[in-house]
Amino acid sequence: MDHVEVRQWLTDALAGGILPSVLDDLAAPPGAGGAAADPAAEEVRAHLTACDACRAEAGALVATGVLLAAATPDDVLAPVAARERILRSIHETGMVRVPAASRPPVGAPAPAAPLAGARPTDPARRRWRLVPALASVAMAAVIVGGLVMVGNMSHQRDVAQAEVAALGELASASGHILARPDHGQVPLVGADGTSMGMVVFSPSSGQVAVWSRDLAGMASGTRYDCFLVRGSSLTLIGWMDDAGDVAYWIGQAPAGLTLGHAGDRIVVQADAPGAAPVLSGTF
Amino acid sequence: MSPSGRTDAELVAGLVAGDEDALGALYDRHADAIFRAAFRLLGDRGQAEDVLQETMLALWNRAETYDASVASLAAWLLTIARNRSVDRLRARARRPVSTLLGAAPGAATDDTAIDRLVAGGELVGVAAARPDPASAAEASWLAGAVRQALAAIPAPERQALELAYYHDLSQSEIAARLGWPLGTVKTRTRRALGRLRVVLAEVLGPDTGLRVLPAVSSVEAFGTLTGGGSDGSR
Repeated sequence: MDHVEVRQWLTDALAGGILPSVLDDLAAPPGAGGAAADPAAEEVRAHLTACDACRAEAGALVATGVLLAAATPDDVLAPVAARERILRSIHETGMVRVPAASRPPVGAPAPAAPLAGARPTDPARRRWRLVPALASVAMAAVIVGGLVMVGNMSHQRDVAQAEVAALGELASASGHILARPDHGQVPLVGADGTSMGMVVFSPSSGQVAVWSRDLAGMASGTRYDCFLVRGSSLTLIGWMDDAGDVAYWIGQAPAGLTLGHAGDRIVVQADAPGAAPVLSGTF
Repeated sequence: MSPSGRTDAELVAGLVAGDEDALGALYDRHADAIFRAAFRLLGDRGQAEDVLQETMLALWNRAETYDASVASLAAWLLTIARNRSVDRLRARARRPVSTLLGAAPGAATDDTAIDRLVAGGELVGVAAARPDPASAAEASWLAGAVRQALAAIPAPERQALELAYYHDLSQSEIAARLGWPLGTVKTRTRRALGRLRVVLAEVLGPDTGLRVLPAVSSVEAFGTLTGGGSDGSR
């Protein structure tokens, strides 16, 4: 291509509103990306590499495009074909949202807590999966990014999507608690004193969240119960579930129990006869 | 009630509850504005469409975090779109081709707003989501200058350029719509861009990069460079 042809080619790309993408392709190494698929683009790339004047011309066209874009009128519409593609993409890669009829909303009161020491029997009792809000956002991003890579590995994708959904709910629930001006935090430690999790709570709203990344056996389906200990009274407040490498629960403090009472303890233990607490924290 | 009859807040609540119809309704309500905002910043239809997709995905994934007492949904979405667009501008500025163009002879090197705009890395003034007053004023002035420059172009040339650039019509589609030969569409579009550059360079000054035209200093010369002085209609 000579100078005229190169400049016409770039000018047509500008007029079509695709010059930045075209230049991105040209920046790709020869034989890679979109430029390689178009012999003309490859010729333009080679010409620009060697021709100062045409590079300057390309720069001027970029400047023109920036200014034209800034003056985009209000009647410009999104491409019609984009709607179906975008909604389908979100359906495939977005977090899984469970229809409202099958789960309770965030912040809804939990069913009445059972008597101290009793086991909950209501299978519909709400259980929320928790991790700290910031960590959940980062993890969700990683998982969503991972979804793109697994391609047709549908099983792994389903698992990841379920975790993304849980983490999304967790981010919201944790955010609600941490936004309360009276919120508090209690570190959870293992039997050897190692930090292994966290409780966040709000005395005024009664919302509480418990999470840990270090509960052994979660992958095998072991259930871990959360108890509030006040004096000699032990009250089950909920149970944790596993989702990947994080175990978490969020819910409402039992009626009549105000969270944050000095000396109260949260303990977590496996749902098994004779099991000892694996996590504990003191308010 | 049909999704289209619900308020934004009701539709967002629907999203949180897993209502995919609500997402479609919100797309129909806000997609055009999001796309326009991204296109104004990026000047690229494909990348603006990518930003639209990312913004709608963020709405779907983070609907719980939207607080109607803080901002309207439109403002919230435009903020997301603006941030995604600025991320792209910064990435663009780091790519080899940007360095290549920036090092070209005659390219602007000072730090005026226009130069930063040309470099593609710092343009925030045309963002739709509440830029600072100075940037907003500058962006408004720039947009007005471009519209004035467009208005100064002969109508057929302006029409060809606007249909191609703003309304995504191919040269063949423009030819069919306006009843022009394909060659005429090409010539008029290219000539429109040449005239626009000359006018804008005069309005915006010599340091904008628009006048980097080693062999071209007038519309006539540009016409020669890009395929002859006629408009190709004969």
